[in-house]
Amino acid sequence: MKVSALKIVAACAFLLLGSACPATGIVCMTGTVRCGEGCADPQQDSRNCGSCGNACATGQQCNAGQCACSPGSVSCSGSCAVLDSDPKNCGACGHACAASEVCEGSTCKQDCSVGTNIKCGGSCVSQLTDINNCGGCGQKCETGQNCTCGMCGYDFVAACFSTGQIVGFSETTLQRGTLHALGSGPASLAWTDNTVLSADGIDRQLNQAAGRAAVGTTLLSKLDAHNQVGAVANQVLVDGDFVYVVNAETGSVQTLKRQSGSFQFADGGTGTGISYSTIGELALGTNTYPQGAVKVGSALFVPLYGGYGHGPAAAGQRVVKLAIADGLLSIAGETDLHTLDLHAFDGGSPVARPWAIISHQNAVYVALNNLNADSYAPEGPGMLAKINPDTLAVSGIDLGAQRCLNPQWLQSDGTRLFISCGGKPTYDANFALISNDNAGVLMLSAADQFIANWEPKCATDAGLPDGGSSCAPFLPGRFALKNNVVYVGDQNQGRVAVLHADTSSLDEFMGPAAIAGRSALNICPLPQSGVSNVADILTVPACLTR
Amino acid sequence: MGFVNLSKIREFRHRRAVTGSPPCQLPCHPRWRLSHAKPERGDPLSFTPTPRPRVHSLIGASSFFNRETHGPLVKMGPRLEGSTRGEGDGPSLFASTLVLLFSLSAFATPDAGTVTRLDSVTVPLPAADPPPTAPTRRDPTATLTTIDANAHRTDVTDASELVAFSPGTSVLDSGGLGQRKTMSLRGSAPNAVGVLIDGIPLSGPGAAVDFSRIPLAVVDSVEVLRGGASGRYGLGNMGGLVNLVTRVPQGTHVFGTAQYGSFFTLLGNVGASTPLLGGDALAIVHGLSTTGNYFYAFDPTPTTHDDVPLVQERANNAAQQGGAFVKFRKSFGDTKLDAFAEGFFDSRGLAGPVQNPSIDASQRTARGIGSIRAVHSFAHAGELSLSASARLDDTVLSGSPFGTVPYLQTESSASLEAVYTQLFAETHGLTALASLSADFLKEPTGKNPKWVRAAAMLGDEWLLRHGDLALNGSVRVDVAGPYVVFSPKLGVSEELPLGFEVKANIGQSARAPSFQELYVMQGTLIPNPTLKPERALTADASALWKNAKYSASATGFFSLYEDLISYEYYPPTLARPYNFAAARVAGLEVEAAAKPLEWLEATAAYTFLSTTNLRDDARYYGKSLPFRPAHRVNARVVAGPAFLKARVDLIFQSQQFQNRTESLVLPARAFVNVGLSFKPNPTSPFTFTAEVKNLLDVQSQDIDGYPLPPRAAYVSLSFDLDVKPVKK
Repeated sequence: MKVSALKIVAACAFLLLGSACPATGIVCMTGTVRCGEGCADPQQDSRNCGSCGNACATGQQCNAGQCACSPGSVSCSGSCAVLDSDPKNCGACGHACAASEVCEGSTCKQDCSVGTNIKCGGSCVSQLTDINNCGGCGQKCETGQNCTCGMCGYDFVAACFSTGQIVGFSETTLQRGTLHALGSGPASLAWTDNTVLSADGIDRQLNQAAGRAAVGTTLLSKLDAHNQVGAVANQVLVDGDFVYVVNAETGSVQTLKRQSGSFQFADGGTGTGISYSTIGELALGTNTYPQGAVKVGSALFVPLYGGYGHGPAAAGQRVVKLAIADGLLSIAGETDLHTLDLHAFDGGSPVARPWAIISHQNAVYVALNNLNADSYAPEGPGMLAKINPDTLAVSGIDLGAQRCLNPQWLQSDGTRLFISCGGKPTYDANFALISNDNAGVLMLSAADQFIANWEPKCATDAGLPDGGSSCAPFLPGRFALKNNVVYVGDQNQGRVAVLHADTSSLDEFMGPAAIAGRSALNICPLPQSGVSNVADILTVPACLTR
Repeated sequence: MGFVNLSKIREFRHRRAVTGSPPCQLPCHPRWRLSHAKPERGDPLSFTPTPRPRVHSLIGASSFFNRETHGPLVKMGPRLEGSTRGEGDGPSLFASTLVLLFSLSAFATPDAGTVTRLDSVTVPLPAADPPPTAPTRRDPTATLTTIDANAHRTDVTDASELVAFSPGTSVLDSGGLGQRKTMSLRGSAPNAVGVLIDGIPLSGPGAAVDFSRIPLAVVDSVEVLRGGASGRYGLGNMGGLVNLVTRVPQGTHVFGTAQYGSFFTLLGNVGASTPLLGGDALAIVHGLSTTGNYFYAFDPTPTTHDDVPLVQERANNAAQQGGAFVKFRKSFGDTKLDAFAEGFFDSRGLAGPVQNPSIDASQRTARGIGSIRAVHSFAHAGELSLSASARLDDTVLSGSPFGTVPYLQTESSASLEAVYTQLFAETHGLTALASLSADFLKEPTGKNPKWVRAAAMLGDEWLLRHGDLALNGSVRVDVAGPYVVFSPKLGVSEELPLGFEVKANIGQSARAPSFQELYVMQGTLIPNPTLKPERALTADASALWKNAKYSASATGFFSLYEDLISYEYYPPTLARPYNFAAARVAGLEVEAAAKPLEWLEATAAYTFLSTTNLRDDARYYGKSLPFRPAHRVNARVVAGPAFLKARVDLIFQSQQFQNRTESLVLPARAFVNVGLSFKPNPTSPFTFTAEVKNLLDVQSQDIDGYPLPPRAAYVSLSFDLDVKPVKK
């Protein structure tokens, strides 16, 4: 609704007495600026690169506010050219094919010869993978996107909780796309049928965004379909036609079921999305605060974190096993963590605080924050509970207090187990976050033995030149794992660190140490508060999964 | 002291114009007499002109609603203490108000020799003069509703129910008697509503007042001033303020109320007034106990809509309160002394949200307030008010959510204020105010913040067009800790023929961040010392009308807020306050009262509130602010002879949003309360009352997870006995 100018003028008449009217009007989302009637992301928008109206030239994309040749192309006499298929620069700059020829595989030919290639002008390209001809000649993917199955998409999607946005980024170029509003506080992401599902921790909605679509649609734009979820939905788990939502504050696990014939694949960016309806909700009790879910066989395992304070905390500290029957849940057993040896520090009396959960090596692994029930201060080392999904027997794994406090998230590559550790934050007298200790990412072997870890350090702390730039503490949260690379979200400044996981080491490729100038990816923008939380990172399947 | 009460002059002029009576100097005005002459205990206050010239503020008159000491729009039922209705006054007798700002009164050279004798009239004992802090003096053109607490002595159980009779109010009730209740005025945040007890703030800077901790038993009336009031009352008060006027020592009498009802609720108070040391003294003790264990509907699976809710009993929701109040007043020639002390304690369980209740969390508080004020009238039409006050507020939080060591916090403040008013001729008054305060907070982390606050205000007040038009303006500067805030205000009113009046106000208000927001970590909430004050530009305009049986008013208001403070996520598990953007609040307040027959009375207050987020991205821009219902109605009908009155109340509020995207909604609700009051005979000091609240047993909540009480029944007995009856 627009405010009557008359009212504004009337109120502002008081200027005569020395007052000033507040600024009003629509403002652009964090990380975007006003360009004409709309808002644009000047860091990644090729039509407004660095500033409004500064469009990148043909063949260029915008990254970090600078136009540059698209991935896979090079500059030839000031123009960008794909040497593999450009008939004017076929194989090398300036090497032009004859008018009757095409360029394929950096070679001039009479016609396209590879079966999956199509002819676009004088170029032979794969419309299934070519970001400049994705799904058809001249259909270009945007910054941060790749072309898979003839459709543009991102390799990863991050949830920016602090700014109410989601943003995609590329595994190959490590560039992010443009920012997209989705709810008020996206907390957990999941993928199904080329659609991103986002559980919003503030609006109590399960929102949807176009995850992969034909060129011409806006990826990650919000779709119409949405469902009510409970309070503080911390995890979304897709299982075929069913979606399980773990509502922490409500203390329930909710089941939604897809309605038949509702899939809206073709019109991704403009469609209504997938129609779900809630078919059940299992209440787990007051003060239980369920935090996650993993499916093992025909059961869900859900860690119960417990309420705030030592009394309410007692309602948690368990992992419940929920039997699934056509999407409906019932309690089938539990593992009690109250009696687990938490290796408390001297003087400490922590509670387990089971948080993230995953299935790995035929067992259920649960990250235990190991915190004081009242202050949330770490009072024991980061630990894992390893649960036999059949017998529900549990054993503890000490991750080592120096390497890990307050474990946050778990991922498995089938053999190794990766754990992110939130650490122990330190605040100054004015409660500004000044450091974070005993944080990082750990890599365990299939036998649960420590292999390597990564500790986030600023350049100066790592013995590297800092280049004069400041480095805010990195608080590892949820992360994605793909092709031996770990993408770690930062809960403080909206960054993503990129780690290479070799067989015996875990090395920072991009991160706070800025090794060789490679700083962490700036994925989520910083709002006015100066705090930006990468709440989740979704690994996008390579192609249509259904 | 308050502002010059030119309204009194205006009122008198108006009366003269209407009646054609000969010129009469101000001291002869019956209202003036009632307000300023020292009442003789036990003597009838028949009107006798006072020959001695007096220079005094003419306080008494004021806005439309309280020209009679207790506003006709809200006063229901018999008043147990004497009101100052002047039967012989014409419609202009309590003329209005206006004027504003600062000025205070004082009067111009009254000429004793020209006093006109009027017919003697008999009136009850007067209430005390409104102190300089009263809205009727300090902000006479403001929109004000005065609610007579005595008329509700047995049908309301806490102060939040009383203020709800005023339009513009919206209570956030965490459920149950003695549990936390805060109030929004005209769409403001609760911490932008000031609450004063006889002019003394009940909270520290920038903090919200818990209405469940207001000692209703000591309250004589409640003045709800709506609209920005920083220009007259200092920082905070962006939505307005509530001034609790305490009972007045009068003669020798005793009074009390005992009430018992659902959830083992027991309330009681007893008080006495007596001459003492040449003055008048009053003492009241009061108490409350309730288990708060009512049943409520609980849906543990809110995303499935067809399941039958569970019926559960609210646990850890009990409350106990107790307190005492003493007041003393005495005149020394032209100097009047007024002092009070209040002590209060309470203990309550903190039940927590029903989804995640707390079984052992509790809060204990203790509060002490003391105030002394001296007002001296000078012969040269000036008046000086000096006051000192102090407040101590102690809070202990214990139980699981607060750790193994209870959280202990002590707030304290002390304040000095001087106000001088001077009248020039009969049409111009000036007021100057200076105050100095200190605030302290002792808390577990040892930050122990403290502030010195200072304020200066200048006000000017004019009467024009033979007193029909009043103008007032003021400028105020507050220095509070690191903040310097400028709060101007301008007001105007005009009396029209046939009982009509119009008035308007415009001003700027501000709220400094609270100590907690700035400096103190509380659980998972951490402070932010870089916060800026919130600011609001406010304006309103009113039209009022009344005659002998009916009255009505309508007020439109508009406010622009900026730099609102809100808590946001702070890593890894905390929340921190930040300043945010801007918002618009606009609306309409309508009040009406009717007494068409001697045995039938009706009142109604309606509020329309439109709030808009004015500066945000497209997800939030133009959306409503959370927890601001658009429509609210509070209506009452009372019928019956004086000895037996039946009453029906309707309290309705429309749905309200819980979040900024309007995706979470608290549904509309309507409560119906009924009551029956019986007096053995019309002059009996005893009144028996039976009351059923929430007759339709509506399940509702103001805050997600905090159910409000279901149907509840109460019976009560009250008495007000003159031990030494006043001669008539």
